[in-house]
Order: sequence, then C-alpha cells, then structure tokens
Amino acid sequence: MADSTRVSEKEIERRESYIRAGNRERKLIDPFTWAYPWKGAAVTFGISLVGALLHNRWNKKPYYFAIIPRSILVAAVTGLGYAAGALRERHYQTRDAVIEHYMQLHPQDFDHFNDRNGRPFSQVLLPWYPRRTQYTKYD
Amino acid sequence: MSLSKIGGLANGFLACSRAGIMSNQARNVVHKSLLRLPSDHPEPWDYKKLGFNYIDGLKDDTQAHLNANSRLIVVEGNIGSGKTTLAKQLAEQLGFHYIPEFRMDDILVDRYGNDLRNFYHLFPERYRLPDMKTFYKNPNGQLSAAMQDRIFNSRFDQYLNALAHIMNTGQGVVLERTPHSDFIFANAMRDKNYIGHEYFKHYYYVRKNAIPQLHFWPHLVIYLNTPVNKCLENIKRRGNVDEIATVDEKYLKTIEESYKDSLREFKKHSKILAYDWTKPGDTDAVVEDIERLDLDFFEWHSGEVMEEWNTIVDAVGWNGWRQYATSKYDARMLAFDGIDTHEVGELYVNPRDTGHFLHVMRKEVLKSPYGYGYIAKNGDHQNGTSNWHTGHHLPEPWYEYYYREAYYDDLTSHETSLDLDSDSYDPDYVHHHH
Repeated sequence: MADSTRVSEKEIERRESYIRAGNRERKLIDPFTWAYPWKGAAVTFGISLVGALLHNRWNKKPYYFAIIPRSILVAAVTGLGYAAGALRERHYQTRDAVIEHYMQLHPQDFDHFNDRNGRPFSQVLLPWYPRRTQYTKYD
Repeated sequence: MSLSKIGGLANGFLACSRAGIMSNQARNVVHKSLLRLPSDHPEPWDYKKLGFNYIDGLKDDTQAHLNANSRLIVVEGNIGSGKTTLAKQLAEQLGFHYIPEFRMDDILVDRYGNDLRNFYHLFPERYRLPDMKTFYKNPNGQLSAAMQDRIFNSRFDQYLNALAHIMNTGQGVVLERTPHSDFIFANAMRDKNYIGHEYFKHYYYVRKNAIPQLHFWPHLVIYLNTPVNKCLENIKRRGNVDEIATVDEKYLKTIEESYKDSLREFKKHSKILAYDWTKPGDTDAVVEDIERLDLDFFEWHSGEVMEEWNTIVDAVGWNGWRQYATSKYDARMLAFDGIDTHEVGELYVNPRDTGHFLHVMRKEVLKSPYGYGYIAKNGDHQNGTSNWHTGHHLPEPWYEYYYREAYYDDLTSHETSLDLDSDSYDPDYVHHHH
C-alpha cells in the first residue's frame, strides 16, 4: 500500500464516526439532529397543519373552521408520524444487530476488515494490454 | 281524460272511504281544533337549527311525532287561479305549516341582506339570473332557461323542506306547487319559444332523474281548475304590466293542458281533489272534503297511492328518510350530479365568468375572502369550529335552498384558486369582449 493513501488511526476514527445516524449531538434548533420518531412527528404535524389551513383557504373559510375535529385529526396523524419514525429506528437497530451477530459467528469471513487501509488499486485491476480491436485477426 | 273525470274520481274515493268500526281507526286529517295528541307527544325537533344526523336518530323517534295531521297537501293551479289564498286559509284552519310557492327572490337575497340584483351590473352577464319581474319584462332573454333550471332545483329543495318539516315536527304542510308539476312552465316557455329545444330536452332528462329521488309523493293534491279567461282577469287585476304582456292566453292555455298530464301522474301516487274555481270557493267546504278523505290507507296490489308513506317498516327506516330529507345531500347528489350540460348552450358558463363572479363576490358583495357565515365584520361569531358534516360548508347543519348560499362555497375557478384575496380583480372585465 502506497504511503500516500495511508492515514492515521485517528483520522480513520474520525471518518468512521463522522455523519452517522444517531452519532451527532442533539440540537433543538436543528431538526436534522433529531431522533427519527421526532422527525417523523414533526414532518406529519407540519404537513397536516399546513394542509388543513390551505384547505380552509381554498374553501373560503377562516383558520378556525372545523378546528376541533381537525385538531384531533392532526394529533392522530402526528402520532402516526412518530410511530413511523420509531419503526424506522427500530428497523435499523435490528438490521445492525443481526449483522453484528453474524460477524461474531463467522469472524473468518470478515478478516479483510482488519486491514483498514485495504489493498491498492494495482492489486484490484486486471492487467491491460494496449491493442486495437479492429486489427484483430479471427481465423 | 278530462278534469271533471278526475274530480269524479276523487269523489269516488270519498264515497268508498271506510265506515263503521274501521273509521275509528283511520287517522284522517282534522281541523286543528279537533286534533287530539297523546300526552307523550314530543316537542317539535328544531331541525333548522340542529339538522338531523345518525346520532340524533338515537335521541329522537320520528314515529312519535307523526299524527293524523302529519300530511303533505299540495295546492296546484294555473297562474292567477287563487292558489295562494286557498293554501293560506287551509293551513290556517288545519294548523298546517304553509310554504308559499318558490320565488327567485328567495335565493337572490342572502343572510346579510345583500340583494344580488343590486350587483348585477358588476357580474358577468351569465350570472345575472332574472327574477320573475325581469323575466316578464324580457322573456326572450338568454337566461330564461338558466332561471327555469334554478327554479326546478330550488323547488326540489323546497319539497325536501316540506318532507323534513313533517318528519321533524309532525306538523302537516300545505305546499304551493311542486317539482312534480314544474314542467308545466317548461312546456309553456317552450311553446312561446322562451327556451330552446336543447334545454327543453335537458329539462325532462333532469326531471326524470330527480323526481324519484324525492321518494315521497304528496298525500293530497288540490287542483284549482280556473278557466283561462278568469286567470287572465285575475292577472290583470294584479296590475303588473309586464306580467300581463307575457302571461297571455297561449301561455296559460299550455299550462292548463300540461296540468292534465301532471294530474294523470299524481293520480298514481296521491289522492286528488279537483275544484271548479271559476268563482273562488269556500275554504270551509274544502276542509270538510279533506276531513272526509281517507289519507291513511294502503294495501299491496291496490295501486301505489300512499305507498311510500306506508311501507316504511320501523324506526330505523323513518329516521333514514327523515335524515335524507333534512340533509338534502344524498337527494341532491342522486338527482343532479353527473348530468352533462355540454349540449345545452343555454346553461353554458364560461369559466372566466365564474372567476370574475367570485372576484366580485369577494371584493364588492361580501367584501371578504370568506364565505357565508364566517365574516366577522358582518357579526358572524366563530362559527363552525366543530363542523363535521358532509355536503356543504355553512356553519348551520341545515339550509333552505342550496342556491341561496351553499353553492358559493362549492364554486371554484382558476383565477381565484391561486388568488385567494382576489388581488387580480378587474372591474372592467364586464366591459371587455370575450
């Protein structure tokens, strides 16, 4: 492996932990750092609220038209969004756990992971001979 | 069949009405002073304020409201035949609710007192629907068919109102003219060429679709047979010059002839009392005739008279029809939805005209982007916060005529859908060439 492509252990650690789900610090003002359930709830809450208001405007109605049943509906839809986010989180957790378990059971299949820098491209690519195909003779 | 025969038939019904022991059980219409209601007779249900939905059906039993006088009596007759006078007096004597004949004025003035006719100069021409006065002044106008269409629609609503009143309050109704007999005017207008044949055909197509959706036929039809020359005399006495000019002998003659068809149709479903009304008769005598009629009898295989009223088997059935008549939504949908008008030039509406109409409504008439019942500066409080009903967007669950206010919420156009505050309103639109 050429030295130019090698990086330090610290750099590898940084790269591995940069932008990963759940790894960033939670900030209230940045929704992209929120957990999936909260993201889901926020998105469905926003969409249903804006939808209800636009529906009112389209139908020549002020904001308070049918606000009581609609609040219930918005709450229900927000709950659905929360549930969808929770399901997504759960799905990824399960997937990671399954893979990790498999790797524990079959460590010999994952030896190449120990070499974190991998192999250089010279070992990856097949040899190449510069020949023009139109001059090839077929017998 | 001549009218005198129909009269004779009605008398025949009189002659064979039930007697003896049975007559104690028959619940015939009686004068209001003779009406005896059971002590547990419920208070009338305030359907105008409350509407009537499935939940209400659990609270209020329809059959408990119904009594001997829960009948629909319809007064029919030519223009100027003396219907109104008789209908009013009948309602007075029997303690019935009197519903006068539908007039365009009923839908042209809204809840805020805005008379749309005051804004006609701002509306596109297609939206300047004539009322009776304007129609008589210019019966050959472009919009006579549109007016007739609106009248039939509103009579349909009015008939449902009558049914709803009977089933919600138990009080009988005396109604002047019905959607069933409205075709007499279509015939007369066609005869005088006030409406084209495309609309004439369309009218009968709509009628055929709509009438069965009303389900209930009147218990009793009172026909006042007034000769044409007598009607003309009465119309002259009213003194409306334009009416006198438009409603001429031919017009009235066509109506008279058409009524024969109408009565032939009524005969299958209702009892008929036909009177020679050349000289206005005595209301007391009519009341006596009504009291002697058996309006409470139906049996299978003996004709369809009173069938719809007597084949509802239980409280669920009554509540269902009561809800159907009170909400009007299903009835209107089944009657009028999905009927194409593209071959009826007289009913064509340019979508741009609808856009301008909505602009004018927002900027000049209601002066608000919101619809009827939701305009704070007109004194509307925060209505409709718990609205959960289908069919219309008004704050009240019940409306009298769809085309008075409810239609406004359903009206949309490209111009106004993306311009919710009508900032692109151009008052000069009506002066442009289109």
